[in-house]
Amino acid sequence: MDAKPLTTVNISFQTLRRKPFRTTGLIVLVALLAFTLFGGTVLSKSLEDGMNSLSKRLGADILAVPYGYEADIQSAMLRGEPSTFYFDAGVTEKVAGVEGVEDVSPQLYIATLSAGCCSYPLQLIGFDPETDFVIQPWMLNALDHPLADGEIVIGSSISAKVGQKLIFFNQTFSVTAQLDKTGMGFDTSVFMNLATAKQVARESERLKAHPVAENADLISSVMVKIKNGYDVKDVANSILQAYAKDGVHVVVAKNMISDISGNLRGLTTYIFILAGVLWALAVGVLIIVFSVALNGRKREFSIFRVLGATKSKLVRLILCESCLISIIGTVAGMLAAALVIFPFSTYISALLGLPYLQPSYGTLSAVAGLSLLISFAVGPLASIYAAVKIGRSEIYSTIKEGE
Amino acid sequence: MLLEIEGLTKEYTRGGKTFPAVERAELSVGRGDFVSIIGRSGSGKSTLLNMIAGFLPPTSGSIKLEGADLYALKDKEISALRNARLGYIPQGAGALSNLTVFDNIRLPYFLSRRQGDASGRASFLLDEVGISPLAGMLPSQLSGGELRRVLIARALMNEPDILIADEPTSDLDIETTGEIMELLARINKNGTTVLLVTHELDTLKFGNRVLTMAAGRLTEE
Repeated sequence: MDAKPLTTVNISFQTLRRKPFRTTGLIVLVALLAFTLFGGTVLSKSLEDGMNSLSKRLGADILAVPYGYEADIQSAMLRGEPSTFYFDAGVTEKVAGVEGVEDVSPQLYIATLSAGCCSYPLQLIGFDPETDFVIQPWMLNALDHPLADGEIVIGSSISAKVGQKLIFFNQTFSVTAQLDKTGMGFDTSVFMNLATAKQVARESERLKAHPVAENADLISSVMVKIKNGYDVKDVANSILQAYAKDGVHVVVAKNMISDISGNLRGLTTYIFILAGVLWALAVGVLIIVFSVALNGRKREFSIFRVLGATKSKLVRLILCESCLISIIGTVAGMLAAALVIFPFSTYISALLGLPYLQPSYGTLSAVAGLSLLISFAVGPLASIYAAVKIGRSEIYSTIKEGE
Repeated sequence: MLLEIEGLTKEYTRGGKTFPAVERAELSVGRGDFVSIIGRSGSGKSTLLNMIAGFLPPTSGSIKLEGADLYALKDKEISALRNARLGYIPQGAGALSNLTVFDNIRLPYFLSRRQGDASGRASFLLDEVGISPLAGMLPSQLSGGELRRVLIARALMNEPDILIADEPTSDLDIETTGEIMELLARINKNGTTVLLVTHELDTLKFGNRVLTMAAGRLTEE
């Protein structure tokens, strides 16, 4: 015979166990709320951090790209989507000559189909280490020498280590540095100097015709930093006015970021509205369920009172039931959210097409704590009225009503 | 005296009219008594019993258990008194459906702080009322007679001074009624005071005092 003491928790647990359908339904409802609250908050926080990181460290004020490829540069930058668009390398010098431009640095994009390191296509980015102000600030370890031919720098999501060799288009490259996590497309990109990138393009000719193999004087974009005191819009307009006829178009980094921020705000608002609706729904459903269930259980509660339970003991019993439902639902929902959000963060980021940077463990703990608190509060809040009402009722009337 | 009732009255108001369900009831119960209160349905006997058990405050009068006025006590005190000194057997199905027979019997022990072997006492009572094999079952799996034995065992769990039974043989067949009454008589013989209300004349022979309730008035034969 099970001789466990019949504590408040034990009695509540047994009551819930004997009503599996009702209990499971309520737990699922709370779990759904906890899932949305925790998962949604981590998601929106990751996107927000991704955005902050992007705006803080993008480096370039303007991106000059071939006309018609404005969206492609955003895909390449934000999601690392392999892109191939080119214009003449002479654009770099032309843009450098525009008033208000402080620095320029060309980049060359070459897409791979697959590589030994990764199961998905990669963006290879050729850059000029001499003039670069975009890639190198992200490096985890500073290079002790200029990036030589055959050397590569890898994004944080690429599973290789410094010193390791990687093969692209049958050529072996040595990993000399890795970037910090950016939350952008850089995480899944491989960087090399322009000469190496052009060599890769020539090698890729064996598989597919490549414009860079035909004309070594091509680049994909020019990163532009403007001088202090100049308005970015004015400089962008100057570039357009001077070189639009040569097929040059511009993307203002701030506009790109504010567009994404706008989308992100919309998503965050949607997540919080959904969590709010679910919270209200959970509280509402639980209030109804508890009120109905407790009304149907008047005889049961009168028996407790008959046997010597105090009014406060009855309140504790009812609250304990709702707390058990809340805690089980909350933990289940948060675990499910963690199982979806953490292992599939790269996929979610790609799906949303937004920079994604997972918050620190401290922030995650705070989000988890807050979600736990809000979600857990549902049960006690929903049952407190019914609990106090039952606790206040007279035994005799409860016996009569329960009959 | 174990239990002293003086001028106990309970009035109800229905349709703007006030009428007494119990009127100036007087009763003294000594230790070891087996008191039966008989009366028709609606005579006020259950109202009287519920007041004696501390569930229903009277309009006037007093109920004293060894000098302690029940309705002068706070909820915590009267709950503790009910738990420790009054064993109540409710009418009908009074077991908790979510707990096993064993846990139903053990439950009163855990509703207040006390020391002892709850499981040992519950096992003893299961044996005493003859339902040991049913310990792990749920109340829904029991017959009416078995369920009544569970309620009796539960009422005895904390070794009360007085056992109060509200029609303990209602809905039972003649044979089971006899068994339950014999069980109550045995409990009384072992020293527990028994006070029961009934509307079955056959049960009166088990008690040593019989009172009649009619139109709210209590009289002793």
